[in-house]
Amino acid sequence: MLAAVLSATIVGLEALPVSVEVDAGPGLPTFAIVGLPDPAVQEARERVRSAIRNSHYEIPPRRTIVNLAPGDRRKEGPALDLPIALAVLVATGQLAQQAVAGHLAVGELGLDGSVRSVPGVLAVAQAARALHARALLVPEANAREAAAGEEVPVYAIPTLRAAVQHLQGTHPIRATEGTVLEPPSEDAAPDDLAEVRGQGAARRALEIAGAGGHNLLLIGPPGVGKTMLARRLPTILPRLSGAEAVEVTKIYSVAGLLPAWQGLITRRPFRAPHHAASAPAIVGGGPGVRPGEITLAHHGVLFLDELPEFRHDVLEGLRQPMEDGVVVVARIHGTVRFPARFSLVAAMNPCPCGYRGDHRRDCTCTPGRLQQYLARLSGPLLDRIDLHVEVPRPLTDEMLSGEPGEPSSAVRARVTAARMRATTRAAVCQAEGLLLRGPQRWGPVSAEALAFMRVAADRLVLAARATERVLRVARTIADLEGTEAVAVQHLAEALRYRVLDRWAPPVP
Amino acid sequence: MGLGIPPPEAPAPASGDEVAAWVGLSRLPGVGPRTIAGWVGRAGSAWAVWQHLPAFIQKRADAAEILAAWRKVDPAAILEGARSLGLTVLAACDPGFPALLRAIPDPPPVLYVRGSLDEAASVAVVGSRRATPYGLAAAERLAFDLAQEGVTIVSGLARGIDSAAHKAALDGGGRTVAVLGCGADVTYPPEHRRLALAVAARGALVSEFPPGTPPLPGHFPRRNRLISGLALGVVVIEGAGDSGALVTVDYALDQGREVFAVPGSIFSARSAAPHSLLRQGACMVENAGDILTELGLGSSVRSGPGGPCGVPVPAGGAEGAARLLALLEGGPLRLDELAEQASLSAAAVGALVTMLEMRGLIRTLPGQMVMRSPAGRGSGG
Repeated sequence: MLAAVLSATIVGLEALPVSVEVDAGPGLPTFAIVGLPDPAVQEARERVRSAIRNSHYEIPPRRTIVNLAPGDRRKEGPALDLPIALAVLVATGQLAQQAVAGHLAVGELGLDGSVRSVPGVLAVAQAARALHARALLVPEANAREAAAGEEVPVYAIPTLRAAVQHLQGTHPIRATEGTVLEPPSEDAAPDDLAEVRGQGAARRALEIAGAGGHNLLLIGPPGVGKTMLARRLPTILPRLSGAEAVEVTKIYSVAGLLPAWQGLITRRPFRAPHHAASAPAIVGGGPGVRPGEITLAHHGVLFLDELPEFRHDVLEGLRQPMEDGVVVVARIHGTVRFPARFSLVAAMNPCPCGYRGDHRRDCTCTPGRLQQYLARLSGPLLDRIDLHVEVPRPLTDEMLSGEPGEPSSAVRARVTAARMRATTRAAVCQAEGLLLRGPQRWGPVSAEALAFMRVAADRLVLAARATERVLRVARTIADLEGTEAVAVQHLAEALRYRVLDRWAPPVP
Repeated sequence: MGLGIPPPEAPAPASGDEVAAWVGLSRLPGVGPRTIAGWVGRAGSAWAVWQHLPAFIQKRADAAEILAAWRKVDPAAILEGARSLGLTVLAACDPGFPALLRAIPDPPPVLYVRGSLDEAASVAVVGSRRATPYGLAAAERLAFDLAQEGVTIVSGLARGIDSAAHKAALDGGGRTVAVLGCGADVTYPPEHRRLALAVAARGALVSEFPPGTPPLPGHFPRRNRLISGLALGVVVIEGAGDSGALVTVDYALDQGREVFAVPGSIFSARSAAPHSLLRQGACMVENAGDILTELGLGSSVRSGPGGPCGVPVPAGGAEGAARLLALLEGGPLRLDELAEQASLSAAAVGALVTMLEMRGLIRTLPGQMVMRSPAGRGSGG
């Protein structure tokens, strides 16, 4: 007898529908799986047989063939265990085909018949909706995640036997409630900008980075709180919208990083890969085509501590995604696109010994070593970093007795308002069909400010590219202030955040 | 010691060419400036010494070596080579040879000069190659002010204090002389190529080594005696306990020059040299006036710390800018401290600091330190 159960497998970030067909016919008793299964799917054979037996159903000695359609796409992971088991039960007459029709099932089986969590369930839920599936059967631990998108009715399945009884209608399970975006309570926020004392200039740079979506480089001696500052950038960015939260949750789910029982991720992610990380780990790819750190930082912050220590090929690999907000990983079986729209925060010591400009210790670096160190920074990557700012060692009394800083919530309000202004202006420009060139591209600039910029570029010997960066940052500063046209003081402040341009080695 | 007939194979500089003879003598191995000066004193002219060299050296253990060099060296070729590179060659006999230098116990037989030397009052400014921002600022302020008073600044074109002093002297519209440990046509360190050109245009690059000589470590202590020898006094700004600046000071004392030291931070290892000099009685320097007074040059330079003011302040922030400048009178401050003490936001201070920096009134240092511009030159902008 022939049976078919709907399921899905993850390709990149999307769920590809899979039809699990089982034919149990006469012949020598065998159990074979065909249709490009990977080793984990192949092993489903053993798990499915044990799970069925231990759930007090039977496996009649027939020639049982499992086909996973479409046959040209590779199926990965153990998520097909549950649909295979259900299809086998249908094929062997222990469950009516009618009962499974329109259901989409995913889940890994334990030998005792329990159903274990699998990655990518939110993507599966979206696929189920696209297929107009009637219902979605998922492992209990994934139910909140699957229901978060409110795509189709979701049933949390604890065991294979419970699944069968639910489908037969003998012990129906109640559909999991869709969890609407729950705003995280303010006091539960793990990191807050209020914990950073002093560092006024660096806090200000962080705010500008947040408001304009600028990438930021923090330069300072070890242990002054560069990481602490970077970690707090997500807390001053606008809250994730519902759609963004679904996107982020999907990524973490596919990567297998979503904690069990978790609904939607509502905080912006913060990723801090180690500088020894490989290019596939950062950019994505590798066997199984996993999303890399830049995708895990989507809608959030990617923090690269010790920037000059990162491998050159890794940093070069960041350029295209930073430009496009998407990374394309090419594989034998086609290409996979991962979203990667993140804010980059990088950090580095001011010199190899780390004590340049430190009031407590002398720097021991020779000019040659310092130049070598700065030269290790990838030029094209630096071009995409608008703000470089020094984070000096705080004075001791500042750390001990300083007032707590402004809380993240207050900064977030300003950042959100600035972003609104920028969005509105862009929309107006687009509506009026304005295609502006030159410094006015990012909004109006006062004549006085333009004159000032010319002098500044000359005095501080700024490259053309750096000038452009300064103008963009000045635009954001004006937006933070709520000013229509960029004025002199905005440019003057923006020039403060170009530390590396001033450190440029003298031309011999 | 009879004067023998010169052997036929002896290299003969153009007859009567004193300068060539001095050049030749300076190239003899193991023969120092004092020996040469003694010989020339006895023979009456360098030319005579060169002609009859074997007679002068016959009793020396290294006579064979010197004779070999004597036969090989072609003074006329060296001279020709130097002149074709645009260098002036000054022998000790030359009237253009600096008088101060001629008076030291071991004046160099020959100087190769790119640019020009004059007899204006000179002060040497020396110190650490790895100077702190404070040291660099001190070098700049002193060199700038001295240059404006018409004093020539002598130094060694090295990294750190040396190059800061040269640059500030040029900025101050004055003359500056760099004494090199390599040929006057060689630039070391290489990143000072532009600076070297500027120094040659507004002063001189000076070396006692013939063109093409590489910068060997052994050359630098020797050139230090010329740095002090060309100046009336030596100002030491920063240096570790074993700094080359102390070598220069030793020469200066031998030569009877004044020694000045600029006090540094007690937390910096680079204050060791100036502080040990101060302890030994070196003249303490806070400003250019201290130096001018001590050297009896007379001074219109103000005394006491601080620089000139009265420069246009940025539009729209005049009051804030004035407050920042006033706060910085007390010494460098961190950007954050400046914001707090001036009761201004980080944003406002950032903007004002850039504007003041562009007007040359202040400057920023690594670690977000802000300080008044050492030379206090404020114009334009």
